[in-house]
Amino acid sequence: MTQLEEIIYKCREENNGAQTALYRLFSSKMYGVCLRYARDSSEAEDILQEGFLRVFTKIRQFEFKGSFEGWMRRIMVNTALEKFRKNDRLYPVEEMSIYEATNWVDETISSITADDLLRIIQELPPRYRMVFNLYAIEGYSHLEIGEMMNISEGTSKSNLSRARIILQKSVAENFGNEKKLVKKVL
Amino acid sequence: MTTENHPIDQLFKEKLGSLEKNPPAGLMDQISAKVAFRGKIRRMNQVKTAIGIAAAMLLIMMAGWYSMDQTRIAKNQMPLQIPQINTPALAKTNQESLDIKPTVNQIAANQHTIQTTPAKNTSLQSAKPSKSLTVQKNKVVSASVSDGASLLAAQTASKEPSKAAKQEENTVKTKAAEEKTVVKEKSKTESGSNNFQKKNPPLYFADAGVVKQTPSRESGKGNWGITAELSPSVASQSVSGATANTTQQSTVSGGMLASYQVSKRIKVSSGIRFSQMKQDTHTSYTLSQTSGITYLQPVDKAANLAGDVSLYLPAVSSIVYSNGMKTNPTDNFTSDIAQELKYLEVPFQATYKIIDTYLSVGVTGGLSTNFLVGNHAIITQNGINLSNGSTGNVRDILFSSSAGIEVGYGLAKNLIITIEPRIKQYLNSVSSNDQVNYKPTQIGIFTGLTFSFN
Repeated sequence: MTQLEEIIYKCREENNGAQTALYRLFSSKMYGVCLRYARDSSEAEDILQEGFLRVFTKIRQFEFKGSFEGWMRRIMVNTALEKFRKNDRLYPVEEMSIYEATNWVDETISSITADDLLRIIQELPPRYRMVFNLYAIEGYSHLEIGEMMNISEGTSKSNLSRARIILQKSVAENFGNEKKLVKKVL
Repeated sequence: MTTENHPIDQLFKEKLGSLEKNPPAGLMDQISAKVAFRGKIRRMNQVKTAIGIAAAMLLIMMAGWYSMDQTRIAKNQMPLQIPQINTPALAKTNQESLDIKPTVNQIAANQHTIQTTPAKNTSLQSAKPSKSLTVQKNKVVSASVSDGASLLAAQTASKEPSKAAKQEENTVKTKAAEEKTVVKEKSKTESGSNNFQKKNPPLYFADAGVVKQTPSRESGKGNWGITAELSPSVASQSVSGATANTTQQSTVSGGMLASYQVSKRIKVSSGIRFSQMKQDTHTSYTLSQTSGITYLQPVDKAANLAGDVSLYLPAVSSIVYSNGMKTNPTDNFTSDIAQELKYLEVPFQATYKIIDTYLSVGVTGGLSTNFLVGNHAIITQNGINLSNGSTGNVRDILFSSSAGIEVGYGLAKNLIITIEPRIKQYLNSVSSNDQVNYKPTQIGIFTGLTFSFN
């Protein structure tokens, strides 16, 4: 039995020490996930806290099929989605006509740090942020995203497209030198 | 451009896909505290659910057992009545004794026969049930034989000529008067025997049936029934020191009850019922933070039940309004709070039927114990949820009384539909906070279907 399995079994018995150990093992990775889905660190902490509560509550449902980290990640994503669904009306959908429908590839873009990109992605309107995270980083299909967010497949595609445009513009404005960018028409 | 090759997707996936950041210190302590809190609530709910299920199963088992027992008695255990002492042979004998022309000896013999009859009736009917039916039958037979013998002796005596008899034949008037007296005595004696039988009804046995006779009982008495009921409910509140604007919301109650017909008009019932309380309050609040948890506190703490709502949130830096404005947590803000409390109710109630026909009318009253099973609060502003929480200082157990008027209509032999306007008054305050005296009165119209096991 691996150390992780031992911790999981003890967590099933609601052992406080094991829960703390599990938190120490995965909190930094899961906090990284939460930060991508949240608008700021405060909301990310909220998602992380609620997510770990669900992990501890539902850990008996984990049947050691597949990656435990992947299972935890899905819980965090679902928690973020639920929070998004509750607070969706708080945020207006941004008017997209102000953005150009262009796509940029920056040759020097690799020098941008994760923190920079995190700040940029957190500035996205929540729905775009959700769709972009689920599609580009988690790898879900538009059909799956539509079901998860209760939107149509077409809306998911549209939101992704607009998210990309906003992100490109932000990257270009903050880090890009227009002379160094290669413009490509979509 | 394909998705896989989109540079923005690749960029963000590479940089953020495996992002690791250490969360702020102390977050695990908050998680542990909430895990312990939820565990306590979960265990409490499990215990309540188990008690509820056990009570429901016990009631169903009792109803089933009683129903089966009644069926068994009706089908297999016909009641047995001890044969009356006036068997055909004895009746014939008595009749013959009356037909015989009376003589002094006959009168004497008949008097003996008549007088001994009730004595034997008494000895047989008041005797405790014997273990063997044969014994009882023997007694009956021996009684008949002995009565027959006494009659034979009387008849024999009447046939023997004697001087005294001849003298009696000459005095017809005297004889007639004496005969009249004997008949009166016999009549009196038989009347006494009937009275005895009325006072001491026949005994019943379970082993065999000589006479097929079931105990008479009042209509519906002893029957078990099971009722499913549902009702919309509205509530009023009794609040001390309230300044906030609170509106009670309508809810739905319903449950399953087992009932027992104590007598023709009185029925008692108990079971499980689900009930709710909902209220919306528009008032001003402040936020305070203790140990990283944010609590919502009303400006007027003595307002009402809404004054004890707690929000279990991590430390928040700001509250975001629907228009995008932010406010400091320590600032006052006005919002709506929707509170919901859910209870499992175990009622014990009695119904007295005033009118008992196909359309029955009765009055119902009872007491209930209410177990808290749900506590939820939502803070909203302009219809938008700001956060979820729960109401603090809520008692786990409440007691309530109820009264109503039940109108029933028999749909079928064993099926009755009932409609009952009912008023329910909570006897202790919902909140344990001394400043909040919240004992709502709920009014509902319960519609139910009752199935009787008879």
